Parts: sequence; structure tokens; C-alpha cells
Amino acid sequence: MKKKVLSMILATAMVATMVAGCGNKDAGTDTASEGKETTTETTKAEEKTDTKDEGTGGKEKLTFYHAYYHDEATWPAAVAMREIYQEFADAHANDDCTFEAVPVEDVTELATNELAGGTFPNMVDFAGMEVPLAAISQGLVLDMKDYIDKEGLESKVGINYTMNQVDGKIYTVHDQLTTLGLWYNADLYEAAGATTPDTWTNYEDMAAAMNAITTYGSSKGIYAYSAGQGSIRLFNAYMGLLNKEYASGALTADIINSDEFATAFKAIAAMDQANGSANTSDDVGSFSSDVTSGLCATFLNGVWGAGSFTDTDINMKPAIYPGNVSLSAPGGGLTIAADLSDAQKALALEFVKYMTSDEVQQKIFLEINANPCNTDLDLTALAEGSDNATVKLLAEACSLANSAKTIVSTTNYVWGADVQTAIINKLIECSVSGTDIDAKLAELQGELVALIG
Amino acid sequence: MNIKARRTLFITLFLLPTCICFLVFYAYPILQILATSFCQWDYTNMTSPKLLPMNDLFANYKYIFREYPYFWEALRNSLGWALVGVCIQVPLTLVVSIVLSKGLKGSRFARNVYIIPSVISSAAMGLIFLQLYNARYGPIQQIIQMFKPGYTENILLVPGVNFWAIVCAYVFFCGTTTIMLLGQIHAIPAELYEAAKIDGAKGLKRELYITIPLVKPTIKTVTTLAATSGFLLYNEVFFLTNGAAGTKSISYIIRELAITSTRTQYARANTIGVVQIFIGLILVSIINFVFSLEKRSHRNEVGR
Repeated sequence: MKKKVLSMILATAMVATMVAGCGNKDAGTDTASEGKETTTETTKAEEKTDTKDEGTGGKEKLTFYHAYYHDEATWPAAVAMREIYQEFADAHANDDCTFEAVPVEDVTELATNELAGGTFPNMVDFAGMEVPLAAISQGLVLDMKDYIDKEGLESKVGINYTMNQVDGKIYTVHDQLTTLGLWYNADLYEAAGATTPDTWTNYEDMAAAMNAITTYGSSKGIYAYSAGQGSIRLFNAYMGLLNKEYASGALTADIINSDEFATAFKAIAAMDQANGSANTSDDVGSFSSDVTSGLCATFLNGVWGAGSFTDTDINMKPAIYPGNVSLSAPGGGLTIAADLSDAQKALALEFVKYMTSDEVQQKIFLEINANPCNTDLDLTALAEGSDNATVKLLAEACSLANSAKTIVSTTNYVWGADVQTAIINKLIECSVSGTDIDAKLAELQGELVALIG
Repeated sequence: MNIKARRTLFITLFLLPTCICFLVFYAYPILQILATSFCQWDYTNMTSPKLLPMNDLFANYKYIFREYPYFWEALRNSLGWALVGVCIQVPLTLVVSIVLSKGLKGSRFARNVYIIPSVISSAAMGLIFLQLYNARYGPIQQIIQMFKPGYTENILLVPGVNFWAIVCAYVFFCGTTTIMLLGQIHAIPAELYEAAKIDGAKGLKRELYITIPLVKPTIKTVTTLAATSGFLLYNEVFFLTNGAAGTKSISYIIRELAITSTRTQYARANTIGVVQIFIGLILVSIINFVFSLEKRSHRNEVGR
């Protein structure tokens, strides 16, 4: 009898949990999945729970999460960013709504965890990572387009205005851009008799230069370039050269099976194979020490790499990809929750304005050594007024990338991280000598079609 | 209240915390995984999984088995690592614990040294092995080049070889199971060994006929742990290859679908979770069956 009772309790509880698992917590939130326009901004603001912080005497508080948690010894730029945030906080310390910047190690994880519970943090800086689709799809983030238009911030937010516009809405503004070209060791190129990137009009030119370096350096431990994560940047740029539309929009089966996709993949895979699997990594940062010790001739990294070379004797010069192409995308940046109170919302939008202002953007360029989004700034003039070698090198790299004939968004941002990983992995696999590149291409095409399905 | 009723109440109250914990932390997640594998649950409805229409109830299973490009590769690898775990870890654990049980000089020190890697996280071990396998500077590459001069490939990218490279990153670290087995060996009464000695069982015979049969239940536990840890391998794959060159595991693709995918495909990830649980149960059942075979044959002999 006792056993029966216990069994009954267990069985009932299990059935209840099963029903709960399939249950619909909130029928109202289904609007997104049904493709209906979400009008949650106002309704959620009305439902907003009390965000007043007792610690600040009943004042409201806007909490902003960012990833600049590093100490000065690890990354001085992080300290400079925190100072920028603090200045804004200090300026609003006596307002009805105060501002607090909180550093966290993984902003995306923080947001994802909250999203799983159907909420979004007050304000987040995604630092170039994508804004989770779930946040947009479920109407949890604020559209800033009207504010940007009203305040005339189009030139201040720069390419955020176009690249981060989704169906006429701007959910995120990144104050600095993920801009990528390449860095090459001019002395090594000269010693190897290789043509320099400024003369490359196509990828055959680049492949010939890489072969020259490999021939010159193989007995000295010198290799042509940092493949792997760097390879997808080459692929990305080559796709942009062949068809900018393909590299700028959502990935489709037509793009995957296009001639352009095949041409770009095969060319980069062949270069990777000639470069050798030992010189391949899915983290381009792992090549830094080889670059600064003169072993890696070409560093396929962003403009922010400028700071790595100025303290060394290595003669690294910035360049862009063959055919006058650069990669640049804002990625995810300052993103605001849709369910804030009016005071919090106003402060959050003011913070966006502050971060894209000329004054702060200059600091981002001069102190953080990143490519600012604000297009009103003259980076070359700013660099001339600075005696910092890193700033001068950064200005050179930024102006090359910003003035490229073709500027393409990064595939990571437009095609998604899983697609990016699949392409990197397949290129990495091709770097092993004897690998059948055509077969790998066919495998990749099949995988990608399935992944986007 | 009579004694019987009080006793029932007493037992029920004692069982209640366990039952609640079982339901909340064990049954609920498993049932949730099972239930949501029949739902649409992704970035469009993260807080409200929606049951799929009855005519398309198995859509997630169809996608995983027929379309998802990495499922079969991951399943093959995970089963392979489970099998290798059993074939290498169990004999290794047994041999090491028998040797340590002898109480030879320095065995206590050796035991402690052997256990140290077990307290290092598998993520840290993954990073350590990444350095070991580094194709330009890693010691493994130097050793390979001693036998094969001029070899420059990254072994983590060579299909087949990378499977074993990942095996080496986890299979030798069995300090915890060694301690379990060692404890059981120490619990064997000394009289049994003395009696065996009188009967002429010495050296290897002593271990084969006395030690191993007496610690068989623990060997079964060690086998289960070895199989499941191989089957659930994740960190080593993530850090060493990030799933490249045919090295994806079941745990890895679950994360790919749930976290890496921009579309946050929770339901599809949970569908693989269901398969993982199901295969895990089969693995445990096989181990139980294999270990019960001898018991059954013994019973049959007694019956005759």
C-alpha cells in the first residue's frame, strides 16, 4: 500500500512536470513566433517592476554591463574605457536616475542567461558580438532609430546606421568598429622578394607572394601567414570582392552553392594548404608572439593590432585585402532593454549620444586605440597631433580600411557564429597536405545548407 | 494514531526530502528535456516552448537524424571514446590500484602524484594538451620528428590521429577511480590471502582468483564511470580542435545548437540530449548485463 502511495505521488509529479515542460508560460509572448509585430515596448514599461534602488535614496538606477573588466597591467585600454563610463556616471550622480557601469567577463552569457528567463539587462555593450536574435525577436530591446534621427546622430553612429538597421530599426550601436585588414612584416617581404599587399589586385598575386615567403623562410622557421581564423577573414574579403551582396546579407542556399563561394573557398583553402597545417589556429591571437619575433610574415588581424608592434623592432605595416577590400562591421554594441522606465530610457539614450559624441570618440581613437564609429572625425589629423607611435600606425591602418574601394561586413556578424565555425573548421581541415579541397568544399556546402535549415 | 500509522508517517517524512530532490533536480530536467524535444523552442519563443503539431511531432528528431550534418559523426566519436575509455581506463585503473595496494616503498608518494591530475579541471587539461600538441613548439611534435624527420602536420587536424590525440588527453587520468578500487582492495580480509597462499595461489594467480573477483562490483562502477566520461567528452574537444577534422562529440553538438547557433535551438539540442540519455542507459545496461553474466552462469551451475 505504502509503495503504491509513493508510486502514485511520483507518477503524478512526473506527469505534472511534463505538462509544465510543454506548457505555455505566457500566451502573450507568442506574438513573436507568430510573426506579429511586437508592441511590447509600452506595455512592458507599464508592467515594469519597481527599479528604484533603496541604496540611492529611492532614486532610479540604470545598470550598464560592459566587458572592460581588465586591470591596467592586462589591458590599459579597459581602464580608459571605465573612466569614460565613470565620467558619465558622475555627471548624472544627482539626477533622478543614476548610472552605474558594471564590468563583467562575459556580457553575451549574461544577456543569454537573462533572455532564457524572458528578460534583458538594463543596458549592455556587446563589444562587437552579435545581439542575440532572441532579444530582438521577443521585443526585449529598444529601437533607437527614431532617437538617432531626431537628434541628428547619423554621422555620429556611422556605419551602425546602415549595418545595424534591421527592418528599419536600430537595436544596437557600437561605439567602435571591428575593422580588419592585415599586417605584414615589410622587412621579411623584401628579404623574400615577395610583392607587397598594396600591389595585389587579386588572390593569385597574394598566393604568389605567400609562396615566395614560404620558399624563403621554410628552413628558418618563418611562415607566410596566420591561417585558421585569419583564413575566414581572407575568405570573407574574397567573397566581398566577388560579390559584395553575398557577403553582406543572410546566408542562403543560393549563396552556398554559388560559383563565387566555391571560387573563394578553393583559393583560400589552396593557400592554407601551401602555408601548412602547423601554421593554423582558430585563434589568431595565438600567433602574436610569432609575429613580434619575426616568424609570421603576415598577421591577419584587425586594426587594433597596431598596439602590438610599436614596442618592437619588427617593421609591421598595415594593408588591406587583395582588390582593395577591407572588412568592417560595428557588430553588437550598446543595447538597451525595451522595458525600462521613461527616466531610465532617457538616460540610456543619452549615454548612446555621449558615447558617439566627438569628444568620447576622440578618446576611443587616441586612448583605446580602436577605430571609432563617428565619421565626423578626421583620424589622420588627430594622429598628426599625437606623438604616440601606436596612434599614428592605427590612423594609417584605419584610413586604409575606411577608404577601401569595397568595405564588407564580417561574415561572423551577418552569417552567424555556427556558420563561421563550420567554414573555419573546413578551411583548417584543408590545410593538411594532400587533403582533397573539392571534396571538402562539397562537404561544407552540404553542412551549411543543413545548418541554415 | 496507531503504531503502524505513525511508522508510515515517519517513513514518509524521512523519504520526502529525497523524493522532492529527486523530482526537482533529477526527474524534472529529464522530463523537461524529453518534453521539449517535441516542441518548437528557439530564439522566437525562449520562455514558452510550443508543442509541435501532432502531424509533425517528430520534426526535431527528423532534423537531427536526417539533416543535421554533425550528429552521426558526433555519435560515432562519443561511442568510440566510451569504448576506448572502458578498454584502457579500466585495466589501467585495476593494474595501478593492485600495484599501489602492495605497499611498496614510495607507493604513497606515487599514489598522491597519480591523483594530482584528477583535481585539475578537464578544461585546464585541454589547454595543457593544446600546448603539448602544438605543431610548432609542442614536445609531442618534437618526438614525432625524431621518428619521422620533416613531419610538419598539426596532428590535431589529421583525421584518425586526432581521435587518439583526444583520447590521450583524458584516458590516463583515472586517479579518482583508482582510489575507489584501492579502497576496496584494502578492504579484502588478509585471511583470504593467507588461505589462498596455503592453496598455492601466489603472484598473478592471487590477483586473478582473489583480488579481482572480490572487487568486481567496484570494477563495474569504474567501467560505468569510464564509459560515461568518454561518452560525455566535451572540454577536450572544445579546447583541442573546436570540433574540426571530424572530432565533434555529442556534448559538443548540444552546445553548438543551444549556445553557438545564433538561433538558440534549444529544442533540437534537447532532442540530442534525449538520444544521449537513451544511449547512456543502453551503455549502463550493457555493462550491467556483462557483469551479471558470470553471476548467472554460477547460479546455473549451483542449480544443476
